[in-house]
Amino acid sequence: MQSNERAINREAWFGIAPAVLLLAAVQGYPILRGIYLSFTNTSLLSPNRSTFVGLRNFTALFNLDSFQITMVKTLVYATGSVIGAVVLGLAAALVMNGAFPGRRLVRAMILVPWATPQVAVALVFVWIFNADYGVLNYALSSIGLIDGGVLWLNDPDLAMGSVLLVTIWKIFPFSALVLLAALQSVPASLEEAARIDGARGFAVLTEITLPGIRRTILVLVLFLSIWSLRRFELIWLLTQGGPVRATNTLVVDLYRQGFVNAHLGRAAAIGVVGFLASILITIVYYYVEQRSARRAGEA
Amino acid sequence: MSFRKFPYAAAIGLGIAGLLGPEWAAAQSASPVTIEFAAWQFTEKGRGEKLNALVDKFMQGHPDIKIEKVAVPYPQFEQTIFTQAGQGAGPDVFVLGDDAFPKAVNAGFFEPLGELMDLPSLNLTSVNEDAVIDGKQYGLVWGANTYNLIYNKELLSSIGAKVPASYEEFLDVAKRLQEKGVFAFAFRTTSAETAGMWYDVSNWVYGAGGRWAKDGQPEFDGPQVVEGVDRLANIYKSGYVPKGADAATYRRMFWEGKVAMFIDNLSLPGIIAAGNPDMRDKIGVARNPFQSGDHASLTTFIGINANSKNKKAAAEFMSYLFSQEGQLALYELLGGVSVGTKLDLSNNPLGGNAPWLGEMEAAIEAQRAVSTVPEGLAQKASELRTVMSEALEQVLFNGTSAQDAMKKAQEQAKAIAAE
Repeated sequence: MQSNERAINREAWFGIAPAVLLLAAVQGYPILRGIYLSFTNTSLLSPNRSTFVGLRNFTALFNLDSFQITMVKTLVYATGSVIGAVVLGLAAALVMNGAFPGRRLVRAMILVPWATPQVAVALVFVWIFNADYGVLNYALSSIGLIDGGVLWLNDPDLAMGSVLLVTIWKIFPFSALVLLAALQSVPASLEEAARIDGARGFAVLTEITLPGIRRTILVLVLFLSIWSLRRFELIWLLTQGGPVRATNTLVVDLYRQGFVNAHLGRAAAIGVVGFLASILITIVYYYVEQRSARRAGEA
Repeated sequence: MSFRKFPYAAAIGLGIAGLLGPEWAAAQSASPVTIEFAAWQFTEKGRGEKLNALVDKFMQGHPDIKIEKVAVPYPQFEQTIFTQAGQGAGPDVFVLGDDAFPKAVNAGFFEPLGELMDLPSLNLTSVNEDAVIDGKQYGLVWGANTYNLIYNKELLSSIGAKVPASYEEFLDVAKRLQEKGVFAFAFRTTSAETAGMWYDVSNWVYGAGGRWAKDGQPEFDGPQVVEGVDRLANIYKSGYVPKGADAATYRRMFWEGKVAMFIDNLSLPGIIAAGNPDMRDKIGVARNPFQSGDHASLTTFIGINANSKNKKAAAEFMSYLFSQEGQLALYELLGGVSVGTKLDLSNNPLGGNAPWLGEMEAAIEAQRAVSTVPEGLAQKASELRTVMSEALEQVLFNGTSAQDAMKKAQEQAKAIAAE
């Protein structure tokens, strides 16, 4: 019996070995190489010549005031974009889950931002936000809400909000789609029963619907958070992290250090900080998930 | 084809190749050598077409060499080349600005040209000596450009104004243009174009008599530097400039008659005339409206990649570019700026197509060209540029005084210089 199990185990290992090897090659090696680079003074100009500098890149980073600002901006960007995308995505999913004429068309239309390339989105929004000729300022001036050209991307107080607005517009369809699929798995009979018991709209949503899709929301938050830490093109094309570092997230800083200032070692150190942040988010997710599962088991 | 038939097909193929014999092999080896040539001018309207034509003409005369044109826009050019060359690859021939050139030579990206080209026969200008490092010529001058005031003659005469010759006159003209509903001036006012901001602000700093560095020591908080930054901030805050504009936008606004003046390199009149031929006779060029008489220069060098596997072909292409024919074509595509050799311009290819040429030469003559590369800190140029851009953003967008922003920038610049 025992030798039978061993044989099955061996077969299982053989079965997953190609996948493990592939992952080790395309994921494991780059991660380990990145970690190694973070302990060196590697330059973009001569990446094959480097010396080991220990923790110098990390201490230099954490001693910089600007890096602390970068961390805060990254947190604000990640939190804002995740909350925005989940809330807007949920609202869109709830609308799309209802029965109304033209529902299929709406479902298709809502995917347009998600399908549009990031570069095109950034270029269009740069014009929409333009202080002198942008359609946003024109529209707001026309209805008397603003007086004069607002610098949506060049005012340090507004730039992060503007970048978040573009990001949320771009990514919320993904949330909507995922949440719509989850909503369709919530048994209609549960909502019916709640309504018969006297529950109305908001109560049905908070007591029946949301608990029913809670696990999907958690996974969605996990993915969106990690993607927010990695999102580069939109921010770079809209503001390059400016003005005055107002939108300077980790990945923008990484690019600037690595490819503008040619300090690959320092860029790798920033990458390691981002990697650790992603791991932290994943640990928090598993903790929350397991606690919920235990509670569900107790119930 | 089934697997069973494959060995037969392979054998027949080998047999045919064998029957064709050495002639066939020779024909194969005579196929053209391919080299890559990278320049940001390929991406620019007006200049791109002319550069394409120049490269095509070379290939017509040299059927043994095929040139792949690598078009990378200016803002990404340096990073793209450095990333590729750092990995032991990259285009065989490429151009680089004087702020990046010393760093590239130091990293071993350029092959010394002395043994590949007959340099003494090229009638080179003295500016080429800037590309000599440790006695070796690593590049040749592609174009020696300067920054000058480019203005719309029609808009200035519509308010009865002369071309401003001093900062005070500039302010007066700007106010009158603003009253007419026209943007008096333009420069890059978006954080998405920090590299170009460096050239913009350099002209104002040099115009006030300042320098970014002296003998390897940064001087970001020098009184003239602060004055130059303060003046630029003043015209921004006065509403004389379109806010949030990048270079492509304000240049287009100029050729649409929405901007009256800007300070830019001397290739711009040609680019603008190519974009809007109606502007050709309205474009004026003058010395910058500052007291010092110093203006920024940008020298671009061209060289052969040390990683190139076809250095001889690359050198042949370079030799063509530095022949009288190639240089005249370059002179034309660069809009009349100085090229790498002493040119015979008795048959000026720009001719009547560039009515601004006389003014342009007078403006160059009246000023002293100063490189935007901080003196003695060429290896740190890109990092110092980032520091400067952030300081300018502080002044323009955050209301920080030029004095305070430049004082902080000086501390950062000193730390970078000391690394």
